Amino acid sequence: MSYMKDINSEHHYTSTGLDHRKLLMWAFLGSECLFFGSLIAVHMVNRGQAALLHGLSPACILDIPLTSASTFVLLISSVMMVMAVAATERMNLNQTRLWLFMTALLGSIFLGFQVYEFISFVDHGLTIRNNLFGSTFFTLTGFHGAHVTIGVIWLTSLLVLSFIRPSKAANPVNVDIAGLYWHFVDIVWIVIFTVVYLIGVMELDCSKAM
Amino acid sequence: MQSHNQHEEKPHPSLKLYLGVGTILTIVTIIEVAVFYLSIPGAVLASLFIVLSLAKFALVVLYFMHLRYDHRIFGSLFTGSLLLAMGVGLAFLLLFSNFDIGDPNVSAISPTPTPHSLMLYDPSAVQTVDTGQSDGPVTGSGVFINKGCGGCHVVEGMTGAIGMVGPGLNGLLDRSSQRISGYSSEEYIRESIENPSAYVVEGFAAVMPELRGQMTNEEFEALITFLLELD
Repeated sequence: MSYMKDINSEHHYTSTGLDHRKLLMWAFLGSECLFFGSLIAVHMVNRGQAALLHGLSPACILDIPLTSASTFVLLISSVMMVMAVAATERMNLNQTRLWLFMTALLGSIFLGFQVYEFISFVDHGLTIRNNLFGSTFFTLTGFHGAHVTIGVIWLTSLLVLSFIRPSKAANPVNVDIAGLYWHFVDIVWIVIFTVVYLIGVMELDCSKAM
Repeated sequence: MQSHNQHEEKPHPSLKLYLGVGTILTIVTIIEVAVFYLSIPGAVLASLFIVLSLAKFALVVLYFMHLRYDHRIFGSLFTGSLLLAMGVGLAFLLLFSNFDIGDPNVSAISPTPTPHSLMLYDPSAVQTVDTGQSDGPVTGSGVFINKGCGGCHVVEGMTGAIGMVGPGLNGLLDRSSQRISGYSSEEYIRESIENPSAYVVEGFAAVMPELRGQMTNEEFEALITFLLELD
C-alpha cells in the first residue's frame, strides 16, 4: 500500500475548497449539455422533413432491438464504472484494474454495435450527405460515438498507468473524473435512445419492406 | 485551513446502492422497450418515454456521478448549463418545428421551401430573374428561372442555369426515356418534379426540393414542355 501515502500528499488547496479538476470536469460537462442539446434539437426539427428513403420515412431504418442491446451494454458499463470508483476508494488496486477493464471493454462493444449500425445504414442507402435525416443522425450519433471512443482511450490509459505508476492511476480523483465523463456519455445516450430511436420510430408506418 | 477540505464532502454511496440504482436503470430500460411494442396512443407514449428517460438521467447524475453527495457548486454548474441547453433546444423546436414528431409528410403541409434547402439549395438565395413576363403568357423557361431550377441544373446557353448540384438537363428527352422501363420521357420528368426522391440519378444526392406545390398547373405544364424541348 505504498501508493496510499502519495495519494494523501496530492491534496491541493483551492479557494473553493474543491478539487479544481472536478470543477473543470463539471463545467466541461455543462458545456457538453449545450453541444448535444443543439445536435438533438437539430435532428428533431429536420428528421420529419427529410426526403423519403425507398418510399418510407428514413427513421424506419432504425433497428430498435439492436439498439436496445447496445443501450443495455452502455448502461452496464456505467455500473462497471462506479465499481471502479468504489474500488479506488477502498484502495483496492486489482479491483480498480478489473472494473476499468470491464468498462472499457463494454464501451468498445457499444462502439462495435455503432460501427455495424452505420455500415448497415449506408448499405441501405442512407448516408451523411444524401438525406437530411442521415446528415443530422450521423452528426449526432457520430459525435456521441467519438465521445465513447475518447472515453475508452481514457479508461485504457488509466488501466495501463495503473501498472506503470499505481499511485497516479489509483488516485480516487483521477478515476472519479474519468467516471464523471463516462457517465455523462451514458446519459447523453439515454436521451438519444429515447428521443431519436423510440420516439422517432413510434407511430411510423414502416410496414413496407426497406 | 489545515483540514483536508475534500474530506468534508459527504461520503459516496455504498456499493449496494450503486447496484440497486443499476438494477432500477436496467428495469426502466426494459420497460421502455416493452412499452414501445404495445399499441399505446402516440402522445401518451411520447410523454411516458420522456418521463422515464428523465428519471434515468436523474438517477445516473445523482448517484453514479454522486452529485447528490457532492458540493453544491458542481450541482449548480451542471444544472444551470442543462437548463440553458434545454431552453435552447426547446426554443429551436418551437421556432422551426410544428411538433409533428417524425411525420414524413410534414413538408407536404408546409408551403414554404422545406429545410432541404438548408443544405445545398435555397430558392430564396438563388438570384431570380425578372423575365418581365409576370403579366404575359407563362413560358417554361420563365418558370425554370423563377423557381430557381438553374441554381442546381445546367442548361447550356441559358443565363443563370449553371448549378452543379443536380444533373445537367440538355438532351433530357433522350436520356429520360431510357431511365426507368415503362416510363416515357414525359412521365419520368413529371414524376421527378412531383416526387424528387422517387428516382435519383446515380452520383447525385437526393436533395431536390418539392417545388410542384409552388407552381400552378399551367406553369407546371409549361415547364414540362420546356424540359422536353431541351436538346
